[in-house]
Amino acid sequence: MTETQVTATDSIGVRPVGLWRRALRHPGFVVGGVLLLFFVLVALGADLLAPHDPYAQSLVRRLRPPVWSANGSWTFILGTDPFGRDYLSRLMHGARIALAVAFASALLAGAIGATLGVLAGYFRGRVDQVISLLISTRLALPALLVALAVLQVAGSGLWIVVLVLGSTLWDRFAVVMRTAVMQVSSLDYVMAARAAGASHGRIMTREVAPNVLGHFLVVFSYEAGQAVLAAAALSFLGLGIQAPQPSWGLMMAEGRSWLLVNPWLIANAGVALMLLVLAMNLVGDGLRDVLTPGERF
Amino acid sequence: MPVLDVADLRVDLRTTAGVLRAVRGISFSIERGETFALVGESGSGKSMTALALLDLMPRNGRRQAERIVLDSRDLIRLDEDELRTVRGGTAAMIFQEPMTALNPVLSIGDQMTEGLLEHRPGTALGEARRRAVDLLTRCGVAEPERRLPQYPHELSGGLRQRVMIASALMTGPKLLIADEPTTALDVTVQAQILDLLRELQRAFDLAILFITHDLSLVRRFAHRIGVMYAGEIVESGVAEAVITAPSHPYTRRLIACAPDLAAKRGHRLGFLTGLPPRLLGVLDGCQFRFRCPVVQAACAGAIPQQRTATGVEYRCVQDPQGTAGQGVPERAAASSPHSVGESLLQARDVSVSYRLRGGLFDRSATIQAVRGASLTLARGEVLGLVGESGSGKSTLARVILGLEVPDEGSVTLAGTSMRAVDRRARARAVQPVFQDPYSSLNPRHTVGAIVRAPLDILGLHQPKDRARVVEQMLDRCGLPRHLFASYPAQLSGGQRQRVAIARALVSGPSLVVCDEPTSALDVSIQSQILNLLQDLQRDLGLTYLFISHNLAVVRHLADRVAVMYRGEIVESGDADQVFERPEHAYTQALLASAGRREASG
Amino acid sequence: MLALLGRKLVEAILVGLIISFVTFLLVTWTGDLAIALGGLGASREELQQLRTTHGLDRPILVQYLDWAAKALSGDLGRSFFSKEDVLPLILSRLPVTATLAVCSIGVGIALALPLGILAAIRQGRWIDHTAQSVAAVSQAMPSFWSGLLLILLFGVNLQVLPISGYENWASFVMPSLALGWFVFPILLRLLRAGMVETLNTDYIRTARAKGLSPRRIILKHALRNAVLPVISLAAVQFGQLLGGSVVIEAVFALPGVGQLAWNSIQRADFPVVQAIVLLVAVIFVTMNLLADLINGALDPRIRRA
Repeated sequence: MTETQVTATDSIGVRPVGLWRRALRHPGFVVGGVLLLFFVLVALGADLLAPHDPYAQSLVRRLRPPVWSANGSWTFILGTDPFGRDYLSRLMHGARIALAVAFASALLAGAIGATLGVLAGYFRGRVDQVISLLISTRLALPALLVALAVLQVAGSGLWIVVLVLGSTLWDRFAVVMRTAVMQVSSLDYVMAARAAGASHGRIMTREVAPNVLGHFLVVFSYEAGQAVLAAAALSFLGLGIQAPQPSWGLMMAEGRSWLLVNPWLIANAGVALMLLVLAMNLVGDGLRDVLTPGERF
Repeated sequence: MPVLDVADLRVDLRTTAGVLRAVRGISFSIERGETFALVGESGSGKSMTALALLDLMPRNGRRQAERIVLDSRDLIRLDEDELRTVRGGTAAMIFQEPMTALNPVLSIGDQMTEGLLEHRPGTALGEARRRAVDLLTRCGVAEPERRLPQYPHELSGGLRQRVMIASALMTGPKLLIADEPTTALDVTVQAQILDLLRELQRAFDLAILFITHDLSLVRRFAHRIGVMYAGEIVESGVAEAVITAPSHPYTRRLIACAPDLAAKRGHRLGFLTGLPPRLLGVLDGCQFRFRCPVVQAACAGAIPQQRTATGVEYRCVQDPQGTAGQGVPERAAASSPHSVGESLLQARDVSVSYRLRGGLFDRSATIQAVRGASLTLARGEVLGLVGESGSGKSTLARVILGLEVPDEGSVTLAGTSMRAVDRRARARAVQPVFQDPYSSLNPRHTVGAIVRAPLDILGLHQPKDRARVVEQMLDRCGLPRHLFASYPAQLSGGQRQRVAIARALVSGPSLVVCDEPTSALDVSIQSQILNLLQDLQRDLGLTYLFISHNLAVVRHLADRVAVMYRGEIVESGDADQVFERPEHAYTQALLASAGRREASG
Repeated sequence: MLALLGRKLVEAILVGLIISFVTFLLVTWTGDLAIALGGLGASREELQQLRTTHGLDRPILVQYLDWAAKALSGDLGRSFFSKEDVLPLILSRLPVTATLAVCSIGVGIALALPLGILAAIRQGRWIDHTAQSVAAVSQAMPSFWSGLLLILLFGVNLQVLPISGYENWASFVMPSLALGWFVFPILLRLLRAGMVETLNTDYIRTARAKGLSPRRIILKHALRNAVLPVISLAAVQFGQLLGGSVVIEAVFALPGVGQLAWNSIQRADFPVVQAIVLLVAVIFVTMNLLADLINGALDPRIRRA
């Protein structure tokens, strides 16, 4: 920021510009938001928008190149995979899986992490010590290894992936919420609410919660991106979401043996994945700058 | 020839709301061995002036001037590299916050010598360190050799400020710019630092530019004063003349606003209505006209003229000499002595200690914040609780509010023990007003909702009547109606404090604990709030426990005074008696410092 | 400092204990060890026999204490698959993964340090925007994907680097770039934020008022403060790379701990998996302690606390 807000202890400050308007002036947020909206629309409308059935195999049209290659055609804009399925249609249906995993995992992780963080930050003392130990333990565990081991044993499927990711990605929620709640609850307005006879429940819901919601949303968008990356890594190793589901990680794993023949099989799914995660991170950055200025995440 | 000669200095800041004219064409000069003080409230442009001289403004700032001649070099014509030889060379600066102005990870010796080594590349390190030791000695630092390898966090606030001053003098500057150097310090330390500065000024023939918000502080310390308002010097002249015979309406009101340590309780403070203007865009006419008690139609169009009176120069559209009487506000006794009733609060032998963040194995230090403190409050009286930072006065306040349970001792409120009452009954009896108007209101709720919350929690009044009760209380606290639906961010500091007071009073408590309620406010706003508190106390028959480090404010408001030192109440009694015939050595030292601070000369 | 270190040490030991217990439970609950030992063809009597001889019929806490006592003496059990002792097996793979982690962190720091400083002092200018955009994009790229792209570029098209296996230092170039590329944005963001915050402090204003050169202000006064949290983060990242190199080791067929872990998971060789998880956790905790020590050495407020 090259411009600073007017600060003076006793002149009427600049009227705070609405959050929404400030967000719309944040280039990263706008780009990320539009991108994310695009993915959501594609995912929701995949059945209507996809030019082909994402599961229809055909030996005669295997490994068609994308349209910009020498032998490409508009029928299969992004070509076909080793089973002759339309790549673009699979990519579109894959967005559905990616978003479902991202949203559900981040929600579960957020529920676990925020609960722990809020309790630790509000009650402090022994509660905080126990929860902090829990956070340290979680951080010390190699999450990916544990996730792989659990998936190997527990089997595969979208909801198991969500369960595993949700129960490993909560640490940042807990850390951020703990600090944020600690800061807020030491402020004088919480003191004033206590002095006014408010119960813990009322203080947490009415005084603390509205002031740490921003922190939650910021972490949520980052962790949704992390969930997409982690799910892709699991799929890439062959665990988690199983064929013939059009998961992007799985598509890259399937394309790996054809790296020399048709590198687009890996490149295109990777680009889609990257754009989605980028969108989520940009939205996160935007929310951070608008909702929680001055915080580091 | 003056050491510093500034003509028509202007500073513009680019902000999200437009260009802010922080300094609007000011001129002044300082001679060798002279102290010139720039006095003003926050946002008046005084600190920006100090920073602009050496081009140290924030990145969004731009300065312009006809000239800034320092020791016969015009700083406005120097490039960045040449300016660097001036910064810390001919001109040195010290700042307000000794806690944050020194780099926490570098040793004192390193920070003291690095400037000298940069400005005189040939200097041997040993020689630089010898000079540092020498200057630390002169600045009254004991065991100076031992300080060099120490780090800032190992020194007290006062000691750090001494180190800052010694550090500033390393290169033998001709001008010392001191930006609120004593504001963050306790009263006793403040007096010592001012004495030190004067001594050094004599020894080194220093010119000092002293920036402060506190008029009484510079009365005898500065030779000349410039009073700043809205980016301009509205009045300047010999210190004594400006303070005893002010000519500009602003200066007059400002002086009337400040509580006076020497005055007795009972009078009403002068006040300034409204708020300082936002200095955005094109500004015409006199900028004080919005708050001026003697404003006339001409003030909006004309540029204020430079006028002279005995010993002072001031800028005003009209000649306010003719309206002299109006500048001095009603000092007549406005509040009748109120009746003091039976005992309301009794705190007996209260002790509180904190464990310093202990893990499982270090059962190390505990801090005894309050040790066996006892005090009583009668219904309808104001007890002033005085003490320096860390004396335990805020902890004691939290115990009385029931927000903290004491290790030992008891608090009895209207005959019932605090331990026995539930939180609602307690809330109905005692309410707080805190210091920081920026953290005392939840930014996510409207003013109306904030003041209504206690009624909802306690179930007072019929739900349909609550809105009306809230409105009445806000009216009573002087908050304009159009702000009832606003969020705290849209309010000024003074307005926020009015909301905080309304919230405290809406549930009808008998005791209000005011913990430094005006310390974060400017003098002109402080007087509004103090007057409000006084009115409310009289009208509603309230009892106040009024906590402050500011002796003059306590003197102004309190019937009785208790003095706290290192967790103990060392003296208490009738206000006149404590202030005029203090018995405890600490109280005597405190009052002497405050007196010396104002009368140092 | 000693008190702080003591507290951290206690925490580290507690974390180690919890993790060892959790992994132990996971292994006991997720698979029947007797079946794993005897094979699927084993009869009911044979399994019962195995349970008795291996003490699998004792209470879980007794089994854990027994296992923990052995673990402390360096006996982490045997691989179901190769029947080798687990600890030497893992230690033989550790150098490859450790080298990879060190190189990746090296790449990350080499990118983040200059860019982070530049972005902070040119805040809001094009270099800042560029650095932040690059960081945002690279943070969104899965490391296995950047690994595959690197293989395509250097291994297939340019043919200058080996694409898989472990031969010499050149084998580490691409994996380290892929992982370092993923680590760098995290370090960059923290360093930039720290520098921006530090450059706005009062003590930087003091340093400027002393007439120090910009170079001195940035490198001596600002960086010394801003780098402290980055050190802690780098330690955390190092620990996470040890456990997170599974995918990249699979992509480049590097015979490190990650590959061993992945193979063992696929073969349900739980003693090995359990030992690796425990070892990675212990290294992670140790790295954090080390970071605290370094921070203590650089920050007098911690050192003398």
